[in-house]
Amino acid sequence: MFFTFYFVLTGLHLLHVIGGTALLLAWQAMLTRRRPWTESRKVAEGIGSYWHMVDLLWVAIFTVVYLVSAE
Amino acid sequence: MNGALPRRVTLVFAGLVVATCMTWWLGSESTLTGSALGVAATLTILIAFTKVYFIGRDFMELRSAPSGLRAAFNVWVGAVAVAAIALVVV
Repeated sequence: MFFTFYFVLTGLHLLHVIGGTALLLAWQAMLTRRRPWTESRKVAEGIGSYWHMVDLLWVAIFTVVYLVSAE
Repeated sequence: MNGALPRRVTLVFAGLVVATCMTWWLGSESTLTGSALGVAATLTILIAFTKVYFIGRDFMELRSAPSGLRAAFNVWVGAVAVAAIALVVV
């Protein structure tokens, strides 16, 4: 039962990390092409917020799956 | 964005690092047994969700978001923290 939850939680999180990484790389490519900041500001802020959400979820998942389970 | 923001974010980041060290020690290094184990688990979850609150507030910039969105986030953090403690400890 534990490992069902473990793989579902970490697997879904991995998908989000892959999505976030793709978005960050797209953002970097956009900056490399020197597109004006005024056009891309909302996109950049959205990608940043999404990445921090993925980070925030990992803090919760890591605590429940690794730290508390280890105790 | 104002001039004071980077400094606050840096302080929050430093606090998150310290909190991470505390939860790491509680979760993997401490040698607690019996009822102290339940206290340690509760403390670990509380510290982790305090980190979640500050990540949302300062790094996702909810500090300057509309009050409804801030309230929804605060309720979510509180509800999930209570649920996690109930599932793990009770």
